Amino acid sequence: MAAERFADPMFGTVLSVGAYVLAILIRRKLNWLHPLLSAPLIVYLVLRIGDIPFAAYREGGDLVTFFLGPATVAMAVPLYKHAMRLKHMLPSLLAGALVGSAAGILINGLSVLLLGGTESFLRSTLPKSVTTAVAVDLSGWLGGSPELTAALTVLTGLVGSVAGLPLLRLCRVDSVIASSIAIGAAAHGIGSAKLLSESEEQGGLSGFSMAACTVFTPVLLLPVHAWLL
Amino acid sequence: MRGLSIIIGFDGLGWLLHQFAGVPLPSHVLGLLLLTAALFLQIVKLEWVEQSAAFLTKHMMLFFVPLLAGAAAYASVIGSSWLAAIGSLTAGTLAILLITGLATKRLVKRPKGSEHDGS
Repeated sequence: MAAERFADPMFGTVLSVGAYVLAILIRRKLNWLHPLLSAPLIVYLVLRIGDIPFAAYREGGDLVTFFLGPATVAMAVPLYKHAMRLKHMLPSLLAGALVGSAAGILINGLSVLLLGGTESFLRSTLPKSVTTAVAVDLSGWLGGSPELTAALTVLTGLVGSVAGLPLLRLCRVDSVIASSIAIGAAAHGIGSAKLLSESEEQGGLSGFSMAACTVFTPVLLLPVHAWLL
Repeated sequence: MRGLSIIIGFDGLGWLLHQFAGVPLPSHVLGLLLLTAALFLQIVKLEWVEQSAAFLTKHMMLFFVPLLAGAAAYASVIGSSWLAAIGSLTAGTLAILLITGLATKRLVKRPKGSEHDGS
């Protein structure tokens, strides 16, 4: 009954945008609560409290998700801008990001092989170190679950952004270049955003690393894709 | 509007190549690769797409909300893989960070400059 009235693209769209705005406002008060955790939680709670089926929400939710495509393509622009600015040391930065991409795939795969897990989990977790939009795209392509990959990727980014700098310092990776490239490759956009709040240079370097990985990771996954299918 | 049209155009091109030309990469990633190439080759000028791209990337978090809100329904997929999930999220992520950091430290040191090196 009520469910039918919510099954309109308007509901899902407005709820998504509303939750996003609210999550950003909440962050101003509670800095540790990342909007990527609070916004989905708000949506989930509204659906739960209102007893609204998820399918009704998806009518509009899918419209919002559509823009993930153009947003993925748009990442070409920061990649190009960072590359132009960092021209003088591009080869070593690219090599660093390439190592990061390869390490990401290898370690995400090894985790499942060593600790045990299903094949569908493997397909969903392999791309989790690259930025979320690309990870989601790669997950569907590999036969994984994009929703699960989105959650794994966001959590990966949060872990990396919180523990990244302290761990790197502890292990004597104290150069700004090396630590920023590492965080961009391992904690993608969430880690880069954290570094950007520290300094423009660190944010730019890790943004570049993250963007370079969006090119390297899919290419490195090609043989895996051929093998999995 | 020009910027958004170009970006959506490249997204569509990626989709065409994936869907009809059988290029074995996901469609949005193809669009990203093509637009990157077009920018470096100066086929697309930065000014054309800069503003629209900034808008799309700035609010990228919004576009993830529906997927993440639906993720709870897929928690069962983790099932027997929970140990791998926890291990790769924590130890795995830290290992990737370290490997990349240590490798980059070496890579940056060798070629001539230490211009920006050191914190």
